[in-house]
Amino acid sequence: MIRRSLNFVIRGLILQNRIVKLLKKDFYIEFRSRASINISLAFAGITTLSVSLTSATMNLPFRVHSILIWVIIFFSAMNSLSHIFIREEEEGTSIFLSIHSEAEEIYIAKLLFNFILFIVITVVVTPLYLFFMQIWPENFIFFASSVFCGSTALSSITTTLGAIVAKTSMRSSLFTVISFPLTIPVLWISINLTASSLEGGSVDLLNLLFLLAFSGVIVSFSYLLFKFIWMEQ
Amino acid sequence: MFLYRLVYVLMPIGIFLSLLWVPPANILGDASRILYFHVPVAWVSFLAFLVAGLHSIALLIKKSEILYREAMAYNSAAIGMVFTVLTVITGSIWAKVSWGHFWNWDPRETSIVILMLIYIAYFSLFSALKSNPNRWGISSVYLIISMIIAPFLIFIVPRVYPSLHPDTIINQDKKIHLEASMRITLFFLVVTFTLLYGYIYKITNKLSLIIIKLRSSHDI
Amino acid sequence: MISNPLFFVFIVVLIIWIGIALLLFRIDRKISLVEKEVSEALDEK
Repeated sequence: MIRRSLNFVIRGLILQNRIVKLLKKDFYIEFRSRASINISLAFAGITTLSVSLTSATMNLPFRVHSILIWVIIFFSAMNSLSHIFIREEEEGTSIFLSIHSEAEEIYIAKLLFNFILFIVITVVVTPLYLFFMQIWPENFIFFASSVFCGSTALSSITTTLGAIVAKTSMRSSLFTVISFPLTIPVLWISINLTASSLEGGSVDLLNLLFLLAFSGVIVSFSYLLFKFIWMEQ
Repeated sequence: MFLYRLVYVLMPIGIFLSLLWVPPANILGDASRILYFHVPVAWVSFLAFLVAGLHSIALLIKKSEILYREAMAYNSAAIGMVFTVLTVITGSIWAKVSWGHFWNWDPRETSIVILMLIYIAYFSLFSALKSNPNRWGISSVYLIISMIIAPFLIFIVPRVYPSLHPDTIINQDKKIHLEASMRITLFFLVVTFTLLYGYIYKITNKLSLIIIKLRSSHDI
Repeated sequence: MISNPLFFVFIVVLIIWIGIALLLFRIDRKISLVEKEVSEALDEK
């Protein structure tokens, strides 16, 4: 019994170690070229600026603000989220990767990478937006947690879809087509939550939990299904 | 197969029941007869989606008869796509008759549109994977993931928008109030359309099997 | 004629028929495909 549990822990540590290695590799590669991250951050900054340039003098309702925030976050993240898988395919390293590591390790490493990337984009976009539009949420913690939970759910679903898209022939246009119907519930709830936090509504714990539960379900199913996407059968 | 061939008998009876036998509903009048065609078609479009998803799960678990199972999931989705479009068109005609607008973004309209988008995405994915030997795995994963998300949609969408649909607007206590004869007719037509779906599905499956066998014998 | 509500019911039934016809047409095309492949296979022999 003890031996078995020890074995389990050791295997877990090895898995963790390998995941960290994969994650490190992804970060090195992405930051060496810097193209994709720079472009998506620049995209986020420019769209925020242009939105505020044209509409800062207007007194927009909070719901419109929340829609704009999420549209900017979503479209700036869309570009780089699938890039992590497409890069492997384009540089021809995907076969090497699938020989070298287990599907589950690849999935978790990419998921963490996408998650961190999404958070970075959100951290850049949201303060910029709040600063330029000169609005301040009534309940800041609620606002931050709504943005955080929305980002978690979006990054968990788009990681799997990015892997699917990387395997097809028409990449960027297909990504929008196949991710739109599946991200709609998340975007919907996030927009509602962010709007109510800007308006100063009471904390909607149920919907926040819903977003986290959604990402949990998607991550666990994707963990099981990832090998069918990535490995040659 | 015999069971499905019953559709030849049941469909005329169903049309007779819905157009002549059933009395018109209180408020909507004769236009309420659209119900007996619109609801079964909508039911079939969800059923076809479910069947396609279940076949994908079976395919990933068993990993045998790959081509046939993949074709089965694809055929079900193809029938479902046609029925979803029919649902949208018949629903918007009914909406025009009873609410005055073709489209209201009512929760059920929203969920059927999202179902249609999922079908469209599945077919675009399928055609984009033509050269990939791993197509069965990837397309099945997409169907399974969308099948997991579908309950979330059905759960949330009605909470976000108030519904205009008959079962909450015609009567105040928010329950489906149909007379016994209406209920019988509706049930009858739901069964008939399910049989129709099964019949078409069986035929397309047989054809796919023939094509697969033909091609495999060619290769040998 | 348009004022008659049964007109809309008629249109709905017609649309469903068109949908079933589309499915039939799809099966028809597949059958022609099989026919062609079978005849080619027989010719080769």
